[in-house]
Amino acid sequence: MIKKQILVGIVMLLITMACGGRPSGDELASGFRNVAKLATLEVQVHKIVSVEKNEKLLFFPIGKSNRVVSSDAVVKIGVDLNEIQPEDVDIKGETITLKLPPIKVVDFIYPPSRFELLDASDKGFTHIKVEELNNAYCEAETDIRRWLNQLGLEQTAETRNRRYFRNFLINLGYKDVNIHFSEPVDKAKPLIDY
Amino acid sequence: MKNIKLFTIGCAAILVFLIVFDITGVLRIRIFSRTVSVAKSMNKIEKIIEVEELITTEYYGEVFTTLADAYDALYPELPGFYREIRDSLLMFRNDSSFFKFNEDTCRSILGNFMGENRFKFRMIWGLKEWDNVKPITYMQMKPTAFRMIRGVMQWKAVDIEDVRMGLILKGLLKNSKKDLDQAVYNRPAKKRAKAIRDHIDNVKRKNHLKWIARGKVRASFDFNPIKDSLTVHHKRNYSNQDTTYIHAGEIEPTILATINPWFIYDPEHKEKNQGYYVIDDNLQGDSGTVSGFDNDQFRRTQMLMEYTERMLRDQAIQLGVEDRAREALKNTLSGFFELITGKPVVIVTDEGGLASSETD
Repeated sequence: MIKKQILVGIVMLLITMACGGRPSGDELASGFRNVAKLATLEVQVHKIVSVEKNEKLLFFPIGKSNRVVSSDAVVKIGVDLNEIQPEDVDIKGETITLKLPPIKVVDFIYPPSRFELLDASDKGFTHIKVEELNNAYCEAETDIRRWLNQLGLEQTAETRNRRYFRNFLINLGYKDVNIHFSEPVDKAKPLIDY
Repeated sequence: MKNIKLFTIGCAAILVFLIVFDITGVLRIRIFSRTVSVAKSMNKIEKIIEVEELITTEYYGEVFTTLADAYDALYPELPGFYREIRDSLLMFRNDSSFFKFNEDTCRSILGNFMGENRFKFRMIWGLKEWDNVKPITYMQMKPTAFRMIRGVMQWKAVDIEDVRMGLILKGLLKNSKKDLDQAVYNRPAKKRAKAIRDHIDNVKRKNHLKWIARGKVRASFDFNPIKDSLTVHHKRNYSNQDTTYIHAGEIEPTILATINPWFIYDPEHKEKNQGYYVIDDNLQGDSGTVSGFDNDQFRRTQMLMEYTERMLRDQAIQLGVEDRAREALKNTLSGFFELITGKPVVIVTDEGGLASSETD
């Protein structure tokens, strides 16, 4: 009787160990957020995602599957107007000095629904599952987000924003416009948005 | 002898057990092993363009969708399928370029309306093939376009051959007679809808894909026309305070649903989760695929992704994202203008042709 109970316990433990984890629903909040993100620069990035799956029986290959997908990401860069504080604006007659918040990624669009399949092959009994392909897309997205910081796009974006706000304020009636930018929180990763 | 035999069997059993489960991890032997690797690839900037877009509202939501749901969404659209093609062609009937009949006209007639109905065409005809195609020549296009126009002028139903040529032009079918299911292709027109529906039912029975998708719907405004339409006037409000009224004209938000591979729901704390959490998946690639990019599994996954984004967008619209976006735009603009003018500001918009109240 005791031996049976131990055996049942071991089997239950093995089953529990075999089960994968599930995402915790408590951490995910849904709903609306009011934002004020002004996008002034749009960068279109192209990336090829290549996934390969190999299956073996002991040491012998029994199947191979691959997918090559062409993907495009749209990155919008700009400023968050909600971060402008009253002390960032200094008005003296017809002269205005405006300190803008640091340039950041205000939107990142990389939907797999718009990807194009370039090549696919399934040999043997091996198939790449949808979840495995999605994991590859996650890696690709992380790679693009990290790579953005190495491009020096924040300087291009600052030039663009400086010109944009200067024209905007001149049209409002100011004769002398000075635009500055705050320093990013992490200078090594100025454009990463998470 | 018997003991040796039992001992050997026992050792073999333990060895098999360890190999199968590899509890200790010492042996590092797997009977079945699989590795999935993602190759490193370059990121290439296609273009950088200047935009003026103000994002005022974001909605984070979650939807549960299945491939069966996506296919079920096709059914209401099937009866009007052929009628829509004819109606789309009618708008070209009175076009002055109609009698010029050059390559641009053909492409306009056959190509543009396919773009508007791209989602529907991909979902219906994407059941078979819709891979990249060889370019079709103008001489091949011309008879089809002419026949379609003539058919429209004579109020005849559009022939399925013409539909097929149109789909080839948009790259939705290969340029081959074998593209469409012959059973569907050869049937009388009135039975084609039923044949397509039977085909869809068969696909639903054999293919399962279910997931929970988390994504973001954002409402944004093109700031360029708003900026150009801004007019300012000053007035004293009921508290006798000099107030600036800024008329922003008509404002209509663009609602875009995006489900990225990563769902980042708390950028500040770097919290993220997968955009698509797969619950059930038995989709498989084709066996004996001739062309490398013809893959039912990929195509059906894309189809469900598009349907899921549509559901998420509808969810946000149902919850009032458009009204929230307009309200947020007014608050954003008034707050920003108050900062840079130093005076109270009221934003007046022209919604549906009626100016909203000028008093705060």
